[in-house]
Amino acid sequence: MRKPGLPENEAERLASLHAFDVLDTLPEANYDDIVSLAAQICGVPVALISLVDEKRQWFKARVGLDATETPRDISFCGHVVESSATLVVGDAAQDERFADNPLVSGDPRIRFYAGAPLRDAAGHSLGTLCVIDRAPRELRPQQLEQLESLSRLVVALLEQRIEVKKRAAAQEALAAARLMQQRFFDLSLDMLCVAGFDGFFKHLNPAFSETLGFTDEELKSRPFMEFVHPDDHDSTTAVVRALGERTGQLVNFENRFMKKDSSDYCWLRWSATFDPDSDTMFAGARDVTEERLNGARLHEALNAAEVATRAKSAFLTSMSHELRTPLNSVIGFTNLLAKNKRDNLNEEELLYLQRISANGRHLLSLINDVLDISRIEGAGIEQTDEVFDIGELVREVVGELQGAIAGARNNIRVDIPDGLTPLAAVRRRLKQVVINLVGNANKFTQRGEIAVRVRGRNGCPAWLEVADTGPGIDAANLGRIFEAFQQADAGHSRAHGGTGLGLSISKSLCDAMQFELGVLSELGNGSTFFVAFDPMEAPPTHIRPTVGTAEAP
Amino acid sequence: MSRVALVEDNPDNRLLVTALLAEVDHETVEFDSGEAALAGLAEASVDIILLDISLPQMSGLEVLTRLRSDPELSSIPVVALTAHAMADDRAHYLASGFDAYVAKPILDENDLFGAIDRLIGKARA
Repeated sequence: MRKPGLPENEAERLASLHAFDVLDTLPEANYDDIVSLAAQICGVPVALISLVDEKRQWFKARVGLDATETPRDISFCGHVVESSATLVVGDAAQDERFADNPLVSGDPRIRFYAGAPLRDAAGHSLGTLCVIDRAPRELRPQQLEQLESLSRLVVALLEQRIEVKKRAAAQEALAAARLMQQRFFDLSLDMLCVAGFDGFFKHLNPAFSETLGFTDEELKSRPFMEFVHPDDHDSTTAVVRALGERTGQLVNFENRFMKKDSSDYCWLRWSATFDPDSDTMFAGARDVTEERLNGARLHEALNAAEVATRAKSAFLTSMSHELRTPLNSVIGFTNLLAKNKRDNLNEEELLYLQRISANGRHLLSLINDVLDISRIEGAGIEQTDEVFDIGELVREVVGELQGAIAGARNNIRVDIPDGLTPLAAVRRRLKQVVINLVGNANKFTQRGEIAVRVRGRNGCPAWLEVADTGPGIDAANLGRIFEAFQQADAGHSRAHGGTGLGLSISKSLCDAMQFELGVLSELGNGSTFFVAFDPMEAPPTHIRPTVGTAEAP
Repeated sequence: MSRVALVEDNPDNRLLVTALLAEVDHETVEFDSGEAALAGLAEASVDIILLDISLPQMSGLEVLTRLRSDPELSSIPVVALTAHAMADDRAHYLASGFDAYVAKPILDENDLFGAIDRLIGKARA
């Protein structure tokens, strides 16, 4: 006996066979009909649809045989699969390939066999349609042709099976997708709907009823326009008309919608588009009533704040004017008396007049500073930055204060590196700060030294420092120095004048310009105030007053 | 000696400025409102006008506008003498057409005298 061999493309053939997913399935009438027909055409008792896998041949349909499968290595059909050609064995007992085959020598005692291959689209032989007899026989050419025709019909049935399975899978996927869509549709907190160009809602998700209070039926029973606020009819109609042009463009709009349990309408923000497949409008909506209300409230609050700022500004202007007017008389008449009556007054009386005048001037400084500080804190400072040379500003300030510096017998040094890039800031305000710092240094230093330095990094101005050899500030007072009306030593106020607001104003100004104003000082060791132009480029904390000593810290 | 018009509603300030001007031999013609000034200035034949800004009814700015549009008075120099002395006020009033600006309180009367002398000198030159 010769065992059937394997065809060249056995691996692909098996993959193809398994893809049909037909092995070990139940009998089906179509296949049964084909084997009956084959047996009848060929006038034999046995016909099979045999599918050959790795180890066996399995019968999808059979007539005249009880076995459902037999081993592949004794099968006749294995030979058909090997050669992929129709095989006819007239008398197996006389054929050396099959004479000692147990299927021939024993049951079912095969003598005649004819098998046509079941060739799939790729040319793989999956098995056979075969006819069998227990006596030797021959087939007429016509019978053989009909057997082959029927074998092609079997393959067609098998292929149809795959198509059906594919379609079923697609339908399943579609159903799953629909189910998912439906779940999202039901779950959405946003309102989702399909509306027809006939003016009625077609589908509404539960969020609609949730938001508006109307039932699904109520919303579908009337044209949707009836739920729209009368003032929004025109705009909504325009949107529907735009969608009706069926360009598929997304349209965003807002309108007011009626609620069932409230006389108030709610504001809905819509996003809608035309769906060409169903010739309807798809739309999503969201209740933005609260959002709009908050926006309006915020707007109102901003307006109120602006009105308050304007009112404060007007108040400050008027306050400045009203306080200055009586001071004009106080200072003016005092000066007049002191000048004209110099010879008629005794020394004590003259001193009294000088005190009135000095206190009048002090009061004026206080008024100026208090108004300045409330203005900076209230409305901020003018925001227009100018671009200017910081060195020039420093020299300008030092020049203006030269008289006072000479009066205090102080030496002043200015140290500004060449070639610094210009600085962007509100020049007038920065000058005010520098005047204050240099003025302070001079006020608290006698017969000492003051140094004004600008330090750069990568050619840009990084910070400005004003160092003095004055009395310095002890640690306890250092933290309060920028608070209003604080001078480290109350005695200094009397000795040196000033309102105690200068540093507080400078601090506010620097804050407004996003500069950092700081101080380093020790009692007995002088003070260094610095203005850092970029807070990221703050000066190292180890800088120390170095006036009067070597340059290095 | 010059004739100086003073338009000022506060009597104390009128008294002060008149006294200050008398020190340097200027004669002062006083008006307590803008309306009074506009009515009387043509007759007063003054060399210079010191004009307050915050006046009852007609403001100093309005008075200035009318003075400038009156052919007989338009050439007289006008000094803003005002307690509006916040940061940007000087620039604002000079830009509005005043020939000079002196803030109240007058800390140094020489500022006022200097402005008057300079403007009259210029007008006569």
